Amino acid sequence: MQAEQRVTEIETDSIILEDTCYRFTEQGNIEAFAESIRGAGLINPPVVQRRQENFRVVTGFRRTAACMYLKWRRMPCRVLAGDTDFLYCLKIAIADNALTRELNLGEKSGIVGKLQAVCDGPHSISALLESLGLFIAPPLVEKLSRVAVMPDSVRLGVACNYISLNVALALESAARDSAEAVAGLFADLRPTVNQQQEIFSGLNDLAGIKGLSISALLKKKYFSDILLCRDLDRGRKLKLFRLELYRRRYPALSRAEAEFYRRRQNLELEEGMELKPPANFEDTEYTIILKFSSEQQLSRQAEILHEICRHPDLKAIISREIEDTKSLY
Amino acid sequence: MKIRKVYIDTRAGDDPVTGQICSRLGLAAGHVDHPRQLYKEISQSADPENAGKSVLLLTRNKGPFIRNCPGTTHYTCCGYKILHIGTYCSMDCAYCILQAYYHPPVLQFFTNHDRLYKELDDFFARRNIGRIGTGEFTDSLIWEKIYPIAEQLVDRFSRQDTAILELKTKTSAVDHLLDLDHNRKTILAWSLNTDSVIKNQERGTASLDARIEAAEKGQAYGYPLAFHFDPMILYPGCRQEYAGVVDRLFARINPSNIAWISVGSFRFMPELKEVVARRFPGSKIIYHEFIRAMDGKMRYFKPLRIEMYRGIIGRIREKAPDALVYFCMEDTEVWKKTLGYSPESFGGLARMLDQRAADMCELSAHLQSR
Repeated sequence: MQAEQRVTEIETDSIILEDTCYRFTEQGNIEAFAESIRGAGLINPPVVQRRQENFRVVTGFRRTAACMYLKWRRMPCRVLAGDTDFLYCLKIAIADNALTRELNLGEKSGIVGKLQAVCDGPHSISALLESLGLFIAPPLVEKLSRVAVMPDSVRLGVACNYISLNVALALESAARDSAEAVAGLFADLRPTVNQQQEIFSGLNDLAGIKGLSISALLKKKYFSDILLCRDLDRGRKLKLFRLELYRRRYPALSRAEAEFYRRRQNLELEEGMELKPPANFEDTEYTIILKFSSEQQLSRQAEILHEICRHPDLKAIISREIEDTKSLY
Repeated sequence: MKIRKVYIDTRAGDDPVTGQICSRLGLAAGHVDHPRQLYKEISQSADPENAGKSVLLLTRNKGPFIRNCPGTTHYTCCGYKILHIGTYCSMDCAYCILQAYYHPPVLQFFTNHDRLYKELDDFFARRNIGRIGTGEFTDSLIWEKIYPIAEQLVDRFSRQDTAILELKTKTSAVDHLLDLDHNRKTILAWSLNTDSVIKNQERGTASLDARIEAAEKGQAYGYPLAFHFDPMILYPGCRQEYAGVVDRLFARINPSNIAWISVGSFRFMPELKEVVARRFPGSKIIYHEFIRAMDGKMRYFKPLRIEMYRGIIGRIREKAPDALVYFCMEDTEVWKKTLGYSPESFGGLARMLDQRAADMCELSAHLQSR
């Protein structure tokens, strides 16, 4: 069976755009696209399938939407018969999109999700896609098939590249409402890939500690005050949110860090001198870094070093006694 | 131990131990030319860590039977030696590192005992004090129903005065050992934890009372004893509950019969977290203030560990002031802040424990300088 080569003018009102059986692309900016069609015409007509008195779009959702936006009463289409095979229609939709532009992960996930119903496993899907000019290795097909059944908000995040594929897959372990809450958080804050990992891992752990879901955790006042604050821009919100999460996730460690920084301040080290704690305060070795550009500066730093060796705050830093750990358990 | 299927590595097929285990189990055995086949089958199951508990592979130990405890970098190791009789465990503890240590974990029992005993005889002949245990890569006493390895080892150790055997367990299955002529060369040891940890995190293990009762039986038959509070787990109320465990222990066990008590906190390779989350969804043990420690393992933030140790050590000191308490894999700072000294001031932890073994178990071999 082949697509009808002849182009037919059909009533725009008879096209059911809400029927997304073959849709896996994003809507995008219809206004700009419509202007292009207004100027150059509809160069490549959409393919539609007859559905009794109406039609469903097989490929060309954006073109159809643009023509509707332009209030065209009739538009040219290639029409497939109502009994055309599902897989055949899907192949047309995939081939038409894959050959015109690079599809994003969300769109690829949408394709894989639809092919799961008619193909037998990742290797079969990968081979079929390759025959249509779309190269997705079987391991990635397997991952995309998992994303395909995730909540719309997560799939949108992957499609729009503000949720990494690995974080999306990690969200599988969360309850649906929590995955949606994290997707909403990332849509709002747009963290980097590393920050996404850090935030999800921190939220997951903190939820485990508190015995709450992530979605319930994000509604807590200490987070919602930051997330709902209108006076904060996105970058500031992200910074404050990560800081609050860290404080809640690592209460004793962040207290120890705050105590260290407070006491280090009291040492009044000069510019070019830095005192660094051991990672996570696990080791007992502290590091002093001296940067100098003259003998005089080094001499001055040596004097300060001599002084701080007797400083009570240095003694306290090294003794590392932290109060109030009992309250943590 | 519920074995569903037995596999025999073809190279182990003629070992007498293999025949004895097969006739005792009464199961038809499959044969594999290479364990890889079996590992692959188990890896592909939905819950490989559980699947590996019902499949027994009888195979030969291709490496050394006596090996140094792997220990870890940056932390004080006790210089323990492992007698590698088999791998994995039929019990199912949420925190068990073996779940992530082997890929996949499978119940394996080594059958080339001719070499095992040859290595032991060579070790004894060197006349250096040794503390050797079978409970590192498996539980020391889960194998007895299919093969009396512990029984045989107690006998073998009783006929020398160089090394002690430590049988470390979470079972209470010691009755068959009680009448043996152990000559105080075997230490019966239990891993202890609070009732709630045992109930919620240690599936299929004996209760705390059953473990202490078993220890009491061992005590009555003259066995030296040891106890391991490891892994200690932080949770609300744990301080009081660990103190309660100490009280219950010393209500029935005479401190003079205890060779040593070790203390350690829950620590794990990062890979274990995913396994625990998947296999024990109700377990909260992986959710706490863990930091990546110097050896790459996840540990409780050090002040939390120190506070937890102070609590239990204080209670042990009240009940048994002379008990030898040591840490498994902690650093000098922890030692000094909880016990008030570092093992280096006594020649090192290994030497301290060797000396204790020599005194308690009447060894006459040489103390090594380590």
